[in-house]
Amino acid sequence: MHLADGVLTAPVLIGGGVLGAIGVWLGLRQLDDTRLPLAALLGSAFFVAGTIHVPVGVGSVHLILNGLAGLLLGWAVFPAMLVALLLQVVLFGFGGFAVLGVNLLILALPGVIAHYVCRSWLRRTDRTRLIAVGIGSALIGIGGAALLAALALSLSGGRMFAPLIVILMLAHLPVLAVDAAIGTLSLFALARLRPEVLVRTAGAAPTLAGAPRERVDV
Amino acid sequence: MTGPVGCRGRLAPGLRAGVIALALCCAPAARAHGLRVSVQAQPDGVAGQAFYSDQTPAAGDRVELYAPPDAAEPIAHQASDAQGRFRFQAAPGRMYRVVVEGEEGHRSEAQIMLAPLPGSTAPGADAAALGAVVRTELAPLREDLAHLETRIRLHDLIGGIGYLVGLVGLYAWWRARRSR
Repeated sequence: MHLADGVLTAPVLIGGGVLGAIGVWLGLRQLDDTRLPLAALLGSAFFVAGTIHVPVGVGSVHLILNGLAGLLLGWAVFPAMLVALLLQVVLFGFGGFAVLGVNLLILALPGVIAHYVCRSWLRRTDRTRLIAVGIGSALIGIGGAALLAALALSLSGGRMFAPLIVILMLAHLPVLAVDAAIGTLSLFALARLRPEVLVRTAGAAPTLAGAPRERVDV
Repeated sequence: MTGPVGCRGRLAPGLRAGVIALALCCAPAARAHGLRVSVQAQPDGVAGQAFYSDQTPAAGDRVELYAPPDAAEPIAHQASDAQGRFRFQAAPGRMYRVVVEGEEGHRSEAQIMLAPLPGSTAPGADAAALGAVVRTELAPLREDLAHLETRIRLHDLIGGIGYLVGLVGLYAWWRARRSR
């Protein structure tokens, strides 16, 4: 899902950079001390997961985990992913510096959407709900990323949106399956070991610093 | 996969999408994060391989040859074969740039100086033939080096995690100082 340098046109790059920067700014305002270690953990999980390819059948499978990270972090997924993506550019040459903003937007924005869509399902953490949230956040994370990548590519011209989105979705079906499985297992583990993380995700909206809290902790 | 994708230019757009989708279903599906290309000088041109960062070959991708390297339009293009390989006939004594572009926004490029083979001025009648042999024999070695160069190493991963931990430490320290 990393777009390479030299593929996108300047307006798309600049637009992605500006929107990515806004996301990082919003995320940093939410990144309080209690959330910071979790952001680092999910950022490094994303950083490592993308580099490990497990051959399965005809293809190879790797994790992205942007849905899970977004679900638990909210807007704070932007700074976490920014650092992870930056390290992937520097150490492995995935993507590039110019497309960093666009790639950040592609991966982090669906995570934020997963947060706002799925968090209310976490009010009660029974088995079916956790599975639903795990699959739902993977679907939104990977599907949204494929959608945004296809959008960025087609906005840059030369490609048609419809076949591109089909290609990207098909190519990421195995990723989606593994992300959903690992995400669900992580939620099970969290529900058992650190239930307060899920409670915080579900109940207390991560308020912007200075803004009044929308809701009282459950 | 080379078959249907190689001739996709002649297909209607809808059919083309179907063919690509079908090809993707039966080809390595999940693509790695980075496309890489290695290019070697050959006796009669340049050849090379396009591969993904997980070391799987990039089959059926568009490969373009530019000369001089900063030219706007490619002088030749072709689709990589099932092993991700390509081969261009090219005149020696020039710089070339090879660009590989995948369907999913992957892109990679490399430059190569195609030096002329030793000519009749060089000692020995078979100097040119010898040069050609050396070039051909060295190509796999250069390819191995390219693969080795792009391999993801464990110490890079551990180093990356170290950077993350360090950055979080810095941020936490900065916040602690500010709140004091």
